[in-house]
Amino acid sequence: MINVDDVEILLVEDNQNDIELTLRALKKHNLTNFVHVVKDGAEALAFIFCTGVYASRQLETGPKVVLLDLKLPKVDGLEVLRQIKSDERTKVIPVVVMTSSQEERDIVESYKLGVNSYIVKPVDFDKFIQCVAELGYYWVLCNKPPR
Amino acid sequence: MSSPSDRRSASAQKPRRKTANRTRRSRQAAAGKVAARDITALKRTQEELKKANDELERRVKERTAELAEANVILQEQIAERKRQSAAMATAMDGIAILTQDEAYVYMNEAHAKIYGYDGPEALLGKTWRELYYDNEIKKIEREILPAFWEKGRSQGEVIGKRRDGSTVDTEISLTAIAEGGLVCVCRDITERKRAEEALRFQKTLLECQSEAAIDGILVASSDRKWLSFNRRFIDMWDIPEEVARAKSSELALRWVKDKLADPEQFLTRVEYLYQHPDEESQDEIVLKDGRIFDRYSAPVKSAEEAYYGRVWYYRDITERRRAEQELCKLASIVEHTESGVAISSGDTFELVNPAFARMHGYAVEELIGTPVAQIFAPEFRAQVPEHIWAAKERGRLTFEAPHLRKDGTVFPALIQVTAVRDEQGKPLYRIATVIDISERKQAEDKLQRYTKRLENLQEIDRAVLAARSPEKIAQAALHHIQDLMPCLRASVVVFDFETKEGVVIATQVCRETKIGTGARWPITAFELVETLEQGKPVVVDDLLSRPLSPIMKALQEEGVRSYINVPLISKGEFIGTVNLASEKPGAFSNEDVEIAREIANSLAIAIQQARLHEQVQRHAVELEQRVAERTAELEAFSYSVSHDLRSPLRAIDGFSRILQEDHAGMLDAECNRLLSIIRSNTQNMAQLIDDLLAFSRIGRKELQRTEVDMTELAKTVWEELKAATPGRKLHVKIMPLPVAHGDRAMLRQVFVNLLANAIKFTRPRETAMIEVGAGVEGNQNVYYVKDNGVGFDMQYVHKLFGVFQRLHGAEEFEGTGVGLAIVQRIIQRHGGRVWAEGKAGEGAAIYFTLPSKGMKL
Repeated sequence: MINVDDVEILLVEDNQNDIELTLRALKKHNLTNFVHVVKDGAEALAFIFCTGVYASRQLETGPKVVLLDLKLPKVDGLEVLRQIKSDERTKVIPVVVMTSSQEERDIVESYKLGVNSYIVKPVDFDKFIQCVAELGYYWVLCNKPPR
Repeated sequence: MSSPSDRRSASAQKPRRKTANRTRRSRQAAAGKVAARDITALKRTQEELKKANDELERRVKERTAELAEANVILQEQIAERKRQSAAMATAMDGIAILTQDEAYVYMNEAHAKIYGYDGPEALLGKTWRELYYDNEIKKIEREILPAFWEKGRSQGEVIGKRRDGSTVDTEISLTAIAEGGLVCVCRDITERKRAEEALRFQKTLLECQSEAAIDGILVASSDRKWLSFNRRFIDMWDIPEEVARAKSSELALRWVKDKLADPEQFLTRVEYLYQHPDEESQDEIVLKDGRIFDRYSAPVKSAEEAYYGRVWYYRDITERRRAEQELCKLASIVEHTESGVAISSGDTFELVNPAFARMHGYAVEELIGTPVAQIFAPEFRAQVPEHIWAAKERGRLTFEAPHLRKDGTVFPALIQVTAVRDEQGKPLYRIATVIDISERKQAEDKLQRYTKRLENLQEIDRAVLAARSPEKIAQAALHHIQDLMPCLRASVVVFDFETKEGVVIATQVCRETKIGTGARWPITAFELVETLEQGKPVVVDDLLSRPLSPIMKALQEEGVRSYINVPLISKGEFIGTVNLASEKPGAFSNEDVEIAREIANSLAIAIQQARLHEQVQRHAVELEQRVAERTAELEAFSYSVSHDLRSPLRAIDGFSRILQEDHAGMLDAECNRLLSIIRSNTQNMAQLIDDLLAFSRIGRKELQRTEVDMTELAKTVWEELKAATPGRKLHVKIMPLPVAHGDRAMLRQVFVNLLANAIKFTRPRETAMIEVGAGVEGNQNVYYVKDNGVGFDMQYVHKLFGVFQRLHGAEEFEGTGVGLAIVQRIIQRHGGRVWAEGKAGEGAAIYFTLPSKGMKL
């Protein structure tokens, strides 16, 4: 378990398979060192806003990117997105929605809430690997967020 | 003559006419008598003269013969002659003796005086020509002298010249005498001439009068010969000339008989009158042609009562009788009309008709002479003089006023007064027509009340329509009820037959009450529910006259004495009551009950509708909720499909791949092949899911209609697809396509699917020939995409557009069988239709229509 203050990628995903596949994809590009996985929306919010078990975490050291599934237990992904983007302290954190949903509604809603990117997870594993790798590469290594 | 309108005065005229006739007759007789006397006197004189002459002649002859020897007695004779001369001198007539040479030798005083001389002296020795004008002298020489010369005597009428130059009518008689001279006896006949002239004038006048008379006049002798008749008589009876000329009553009667309505009576009467010469008669004769003659007949007698015959006067009174009948009719109208008619010239009644007396409760006689003001109600009397004045002033006045009956009751009347004036415009009298307008007034009042009632009901209806809940509707209805009838309180009770309770849902009360809105009573506490259930109202005129239910007792304590309950019945269902109460006993009339019923009817319908409305709204809310639920479910489903079904696929594919990657050394070729099959199927499955979602999205998505350039759209799609399929020889022909009105994204999907199919199914062809074209059919644009691909058998055409329906094997052509289903759904949502034509091995054509520009869907 890494120090929560060193987390660069917060992966919010309840599906164990997807978690494993995502981590495998990130690993291919050596991006797994600073990944933290939470399995529901509530935990995601706790992490982001440093509450509950994450109370000791420093909010300013927030992740470089949040990979967010939409369909989540407890608090769904759109709500998580809304809260992140409506708080002055967290709204600068890039959020990438990674979901199976191709619903127009979800896509539009996500962009309205200020999502930075919306990725439909390909069923094809090769495409999936490539997609996640590009994504991690871009947001973690290339992107220069304001500090 | 007598007025034709007055029968009485006509008969009163009769004796007067008779007197006139008599006077006329006696005057005639008198004139005749003068003439007769004159002639008698003349004759006597002439005879005397003749006698005298004869005597003279005889004596002259005797003397002439005896002259010589009779000298002795000459003295005597001279004396005698002197006596005679004296006699002649004093005679009435003028006597003159002329010599042979026409000179006067003797003339008496009378003769001289006839010619205007004082005495004979101035004329003796003069010739007779001195006494005549030339014309007259010539006439004498022509007419009188020749006879004298021939016969020795002659006579005639001549006009003498008086001394003063004036003329005198004379009659002269000449007689020759023995001595060769002549004696002229002369008489002044001026008076006689005048009398004759008068007689002639009188006769002419009589004839004129007779002819001018309006009566037909016939005078017949006692032997029934016509003596005289006038033209009018002939005309009235239309008697032919020859009958008139015959002058026979018998003949005339035969002629007249045919014209009579009752000839027998006529003839009998005529016969009787001829038989009784002294009788006078007046009777009426009716002719067959409808004319009516008034006949007067009387004997004609001389002054000396000598009977000449009978005069018949006939007068045509047809018009007069008709006028009299008209007058009678008019009189009977006044007598029998239901309108009161009164005539007065001053302040009292001079004439009233029976209706007038009856409507005021008097006998006709009682009202004659009573003051006009008496029949008006006391409060109006002060205005009577000004109304009379106004009627005189304007000529006619119509007004309404309260009239007083003898028994003191008052009724409203409509009065029309007409002032009648004479020809000079002087007011004669006033005619008042009076109509009892009680009924009309009542009808008017009723109509007014009815109108008010309708207005109120309409207001109630409006209020009821505006209100939403039964309570508000009932309150709105009650709000207006007090405008319609006086009631202490009004309420609406609705029954709940499940809880067996009546609930007061609205009240309109003038004072505080225990039974206000919201009060609940068990149904058993209400009165006569069974009667109400049958739709009949309950009317109680006095609460004190009957045992009281608990509610009634409460009401009575609040001052209620009478009330009505009217059932609220909607579609045969008894749902409640409208209750009206008053502090007065018997306060509610039948009309009030009627009004209450009308209100109850409106109310019942409104309450029922409000309940239905509430129900409908509840249903709508429920439905909406259900739809929302279903939609949410469906969305959750779609979401699950979209999200949850893909995750396992990704896992299957992912882990298969990991297996291949991480454990490649442990897997033989067969393992790899099987893993590839697994992965290929997950791809298929993913595609199926995507297509299915796309298909379901088409159904849910709203159309965004714009003008779509179909030519451009087809070309763009074509370019994209062509780029995605390199290495194919594709030959396409895109014709100019009409602009469509539709959802661009959806129509794009149509072209994508159709062109992709065309590319797919022409794969076996060396050169794919694809054509996109269009035509116009009515108000539809027909577009098509044709290819020379593998085509299809037309017997399966019905399967072509089904979801997941495929006519080819998956090995032959990839695909899920959703493409054409999506096309069909899009086109149908645009109001168009899709069909296909094809032949196995020869190609296929898919057609679709879209409404042309301007069509609204």
